[in-house]
Amino acid sequence: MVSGLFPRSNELIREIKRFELGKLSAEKLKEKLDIERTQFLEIQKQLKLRIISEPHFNFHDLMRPFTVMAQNIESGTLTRYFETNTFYRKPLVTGKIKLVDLEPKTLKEYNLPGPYYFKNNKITLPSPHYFYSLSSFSSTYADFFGDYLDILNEIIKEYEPSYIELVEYPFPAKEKEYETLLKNIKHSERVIVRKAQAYLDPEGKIYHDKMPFYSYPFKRSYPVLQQIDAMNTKMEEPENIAENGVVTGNENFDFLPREIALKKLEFMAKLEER
Amino acid sequence: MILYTQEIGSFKKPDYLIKAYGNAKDLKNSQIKALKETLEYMESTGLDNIGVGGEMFRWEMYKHPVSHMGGLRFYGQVRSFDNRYYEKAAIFKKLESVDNPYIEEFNYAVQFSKKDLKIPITGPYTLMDWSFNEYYNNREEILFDFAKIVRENIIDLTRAWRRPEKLKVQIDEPAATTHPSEMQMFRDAMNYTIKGLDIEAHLHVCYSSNYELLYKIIPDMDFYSFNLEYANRDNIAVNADRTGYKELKLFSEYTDKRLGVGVLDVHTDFVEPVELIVSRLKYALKFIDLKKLAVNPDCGLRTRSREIAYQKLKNMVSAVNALRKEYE
Repeated sequence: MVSGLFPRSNELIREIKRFELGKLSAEKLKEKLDIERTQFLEIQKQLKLRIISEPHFNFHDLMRPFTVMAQNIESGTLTRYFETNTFYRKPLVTGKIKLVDLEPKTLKEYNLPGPYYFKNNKITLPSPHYFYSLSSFSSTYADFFGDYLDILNEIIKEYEPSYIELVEYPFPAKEKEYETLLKNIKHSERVIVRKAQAYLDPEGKIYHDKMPFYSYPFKRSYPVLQQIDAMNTKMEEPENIAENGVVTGNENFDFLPREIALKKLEFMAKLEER
Repeated sequence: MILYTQEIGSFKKPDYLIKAYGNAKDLKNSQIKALKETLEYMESTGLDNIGVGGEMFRWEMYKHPVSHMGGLRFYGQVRSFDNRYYEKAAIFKKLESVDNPYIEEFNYAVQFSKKDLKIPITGPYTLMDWSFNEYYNNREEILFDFAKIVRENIIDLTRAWRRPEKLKVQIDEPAATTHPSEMQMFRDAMNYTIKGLDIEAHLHVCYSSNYELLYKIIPDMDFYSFNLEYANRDNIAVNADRTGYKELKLFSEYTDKRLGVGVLDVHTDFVEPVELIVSRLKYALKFIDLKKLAVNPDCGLRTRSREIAYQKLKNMVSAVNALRKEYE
């Protein structure tokens, strides 16, 4: 299963640059995004991946669509994403948050045109903890949680995704919080929890050949194994990958150059043939 | 001289040079022309130190040195932020130096200007942190192999240096504090890189989310000066609290080493008025000894137009001149 955002093609990067320079309309960019999305879904189908994922090509980062869809969430300053050389615009939450429009026609600065989610396939959503940890807030987590959960539920209700990849940080969070989350989130049976920045080794060692398994923290029979390194170009060895579970990446795939991300996708497909 | 004014590194390239980067035939002549022009342009601001003329021989700070090394290959672009990407190389075999990425630019700069120069060099920790690894067993091995190469590059420059004063080299390490657990390793690699060399070594770090990590190790680092950024976090009103500079107190609690203080925000077109820069420097002088304070922009000015960057530098020099009159 692809984890999170998938890298854009060079052509799409160029088209987005043209859009940002005012040389391409939002409509034309939407068409291009749609073509690229369809092609990517087709690649996954041809590779016979069990879970087909949305690539989210129009997300600059996982949280960005919320700044367009919801009220009182603005794009803040560029902020380093954990210990990486990639930066995101830290959401600045200025008041009570509420979903305004799932497919807004007016864009805010630093955003690309929607729609941001689609029906049927797996979509990736920031967990409440992840969103809260990576944003600037004046409210408490407890105050934020219910309002944010409402937004997640409206997205899930509208799009009926096959799976919901919930990106979590810190991990493992308190089990009680998970229980509350799963009790209240729609289609919790379709939720796959993935840890952001999995197996980041504090000692600076490279764990390539002995990545620890992070499985779903609840009583499910099918673990999610974050064994594909989306933070490094080195290819995995099949014998180091466990055989029972959904294999996915330790981060968004778009930390990789697209050529390597596609290779890792093919590798995962071969694993499914085992 | 008090309040020595210095450039940090990059400067916007003229349009003809940007175009020439797509055309190998025109590139060298355009680079030479742009370097000469930019050195003159910077000299006319009144800066004491004009760096290496805005890095006209380098497209950017990572790919340029890496392209002069063996053991790395490029697969494509990775995201920096939004729709901005950079080419991140993968290490696939032992790193080695192919040729010196800085020497040609350096030789031209020495030839074109008699002013003080300071050669910015991308540091080994940043080179390591910004590369994929398909070969080494751990990050320390990568770091020290990069450090060996950077050290060799600096030694080449010292051999080519003919002026009586020490060669000024600035090691740029934007990634310095990215991994808190690696600060000791970072310190050791920095000290190794410059150990025993007859240079005036500067360290430039920018956009850290936790400078205390760096301040703590500065007493054990063999650098002459630490050129850091503060303006981008400060208020822009002259009479406001100097919020961006409050942590200079922390700096002074850890060390009394020389500080190059950033007084210009390089990410905005707002041209800092002379009075604002004076206010920032006066605040900095509450914590840093006058003889140990140098003045610079937060970082390289490459993202601003040449005209805006010029005006910013000019105001920085005017502010320093006003203070020199007051303090000398």
